[in-house]
Amino acid sequence: MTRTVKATAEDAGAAEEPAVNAAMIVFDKLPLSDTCWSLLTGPDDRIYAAACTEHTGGVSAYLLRYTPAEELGKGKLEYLFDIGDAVGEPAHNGRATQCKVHYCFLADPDTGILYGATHLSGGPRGEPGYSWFGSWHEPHRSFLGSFLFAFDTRSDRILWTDMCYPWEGSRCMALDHRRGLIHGVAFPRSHYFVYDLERRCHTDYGRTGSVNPQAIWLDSRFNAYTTDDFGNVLRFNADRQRLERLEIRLPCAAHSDGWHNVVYDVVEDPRDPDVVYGIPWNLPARLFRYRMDPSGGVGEMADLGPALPGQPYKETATFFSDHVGGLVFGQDGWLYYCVSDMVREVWDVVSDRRCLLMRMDPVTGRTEKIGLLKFGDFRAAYVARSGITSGGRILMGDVINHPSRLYEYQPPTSPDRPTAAVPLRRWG
Amino acid sequence: MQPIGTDPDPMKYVQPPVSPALNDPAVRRRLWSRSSTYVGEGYFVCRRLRYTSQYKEIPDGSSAITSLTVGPAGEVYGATSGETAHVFVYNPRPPFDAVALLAVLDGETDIRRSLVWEKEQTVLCGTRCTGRPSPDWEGGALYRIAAPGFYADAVQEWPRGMGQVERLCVPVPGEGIAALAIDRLRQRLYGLSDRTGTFFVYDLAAASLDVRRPVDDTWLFSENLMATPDGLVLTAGASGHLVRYDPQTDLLETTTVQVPSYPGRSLYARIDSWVYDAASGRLYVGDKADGLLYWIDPKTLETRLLGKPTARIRIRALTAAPDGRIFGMAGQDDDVASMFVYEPATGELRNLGLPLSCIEEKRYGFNFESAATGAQGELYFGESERSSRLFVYFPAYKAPATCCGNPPTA
Repeated sequence: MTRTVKATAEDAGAAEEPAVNAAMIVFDKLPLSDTCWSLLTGPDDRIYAAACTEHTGGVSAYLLRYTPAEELGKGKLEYLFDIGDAVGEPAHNGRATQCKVHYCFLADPDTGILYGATHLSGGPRGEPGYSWFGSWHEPHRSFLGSFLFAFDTRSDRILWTDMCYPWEGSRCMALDHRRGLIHGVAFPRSHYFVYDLERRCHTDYGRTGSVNPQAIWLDSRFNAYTTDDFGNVLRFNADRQRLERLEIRLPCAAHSDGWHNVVYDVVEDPRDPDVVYGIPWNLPARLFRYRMDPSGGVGEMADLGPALPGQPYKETATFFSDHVGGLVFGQDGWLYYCVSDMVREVWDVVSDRRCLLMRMDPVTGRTEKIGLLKFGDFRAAYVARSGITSGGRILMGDVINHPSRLYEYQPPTSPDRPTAAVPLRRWG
Repeated sequence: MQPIGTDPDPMKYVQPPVSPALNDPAVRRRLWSRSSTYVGEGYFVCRRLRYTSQYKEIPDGSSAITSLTVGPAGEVYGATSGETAHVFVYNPRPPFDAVALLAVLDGETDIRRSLVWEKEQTVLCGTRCTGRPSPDWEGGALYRIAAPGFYADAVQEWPRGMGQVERLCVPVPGEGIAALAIDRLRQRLYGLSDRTGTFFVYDLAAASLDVRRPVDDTWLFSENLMATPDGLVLTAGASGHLVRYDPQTDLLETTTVQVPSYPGRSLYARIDSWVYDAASGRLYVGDKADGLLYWIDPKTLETRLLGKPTARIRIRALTAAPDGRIFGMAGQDDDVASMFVYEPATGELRNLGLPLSCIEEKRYGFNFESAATGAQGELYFGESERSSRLFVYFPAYKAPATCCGNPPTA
């Protein structure tokens, strides 16, 4: 049975933002799971999520599917399969585990296939952790590589699996379903690669830097984009098969030199496939709008300001205490996202967590706090990715809780904002 | 595998018993902090391949530093491989501390182990082509590049110019140049072609070329030429047999001496990198087959295996500190580099870890194909990536028992 918790009126504290009217869906049958990095609306309009287990050795990621119901939190949660078993790398084999799917779920609208690729960081069974550099090519414990699986959402069958990048994990991916190519960035060496779905092999295009970019996105011609360590935009030119650095950067705070301004999350403008909205993985994170030029130009970058306006400078802020993710367009045209705004990294102190659900009007640039993701005594800390169904239901993937979980939210309708369909996300 | 859609098997999540201490985050953090992966002895800085931040770097895809050499004044010359080969100079002294581009060799793609300092502000390099050559490619060429020198200031004003490029010859038509070495005393440049391993001699004073024979009839050879100050030149042929050229006799001879290798592995034994240590008069060599480190006495041809410093199978960059320590980078292309040091005084061979620069840019060093020692004892390692930096390593030294007459504090 699925355990769900709904926010109540008491969750709205006097001195802080109100609780979001949302539901929490807990992966009770996977008690050791601790993160849900990857969440995507599948080609079948259902929500696919990976229950990842990073902090306990010897456990693989699990694929789950959630089908919303009319009432928040009452949808159907299905535990589909153990990904380690599926790709032939069971979690107890002594190697670093296939413990995660990071930003590597991909939906093919033509075939109904959901692709997923695995990532590392979970230690071998019985070990307290995994050192990816220290175990590089180590024949017994080393992570063997990132495995890709093709799951047919129409028949609920795994069609095939293959190693898409050896010895490393896949951090983020995008699907060019027209050419049958998957673009990826590997971890820990940050190499950009392209996997050919027909030939079942990858081509390595070299290193992007030292900090993994957390997203790859596409324009209307399926040129792929990501960033280097300083937020310089890198474009994989689909026609020339070439990775090129563009003379344009993601915005960053004036006090920063731009280091670590790698892209974190990006969503397509529902009205224009050549425009994306995104956020870097930086402090304080600033929302951006990037109008791409598929014909070869560098495009235009607009700084939309801090994701959490008015947030004071915090000397002790970290990428875990202050974080922005889970970007998704609602059918009302607002850009929804989650902001972690905590005084410290509070993985273990639930009462100190603050994760705000916010939204921005892309027309005016105005932002609004919707409220805190808070459920009784439980508070969310961090959301990495979100998805939306055709019914307008927004699902958010939680990071750092045992077991891992989802949050479900229904944006209110407004008569002055007509609803519009949101395109299927083409990247992880 | 369980059928799709069935609930997870709870038995899979039963964990082996562990100490409750491991549930304490502080204990886990301490465990991690004690197993640092990175080089923590000495420190790295990395320099972008540009003059000042107003300039663009050597382009991505053309910046892999595959040859390094140092002039007597301390200037560091480098050559790159990729889509277009570039030659640059790094001046470590204030007010520069900057890389100046000297040449863009259009039509040339690779300069590997083939850059030598000839005379003041002048270097020589040899090119090759590792991809498919263009139809009009004659073969790897020798180039002389004269640098304009550093003058004025690189802080407030920074005038500078490009180098002058002179194409000398194509020593072995249809083949590239695998390695170069120079005998400045005799004004000779020695080279190896990259397919047949043909040894050639270029007389710098007379501008004349003398092409000899392949160093091994099988065309199996090491793509390195090791030169000593008195003019001996060494390489290795098939099965690691040393091949020596003696300028006194003008003879190129294949010796019976084999370089060290694991049993059954001499077929793959190649000299991957080398450095001459003036203090001992020995050549320290990094092995390509298994990542072994050994030395060769160039006069007696005595060899001594020192060990295998890391788990990697290649040692592609090797250089010597002024105090005789030998530093190297192990790891093949597409690997994670592992740095090591050999201390001749104690015979200790230590794996130092993964290079990581935290100055100018926080950057892991994964791939290195060249190394050289600077005038003040700093060590240079040429990164060979799609987008590369010049890594500078400052080795740690043992502090004296007292500092400025005061006892050391705790």
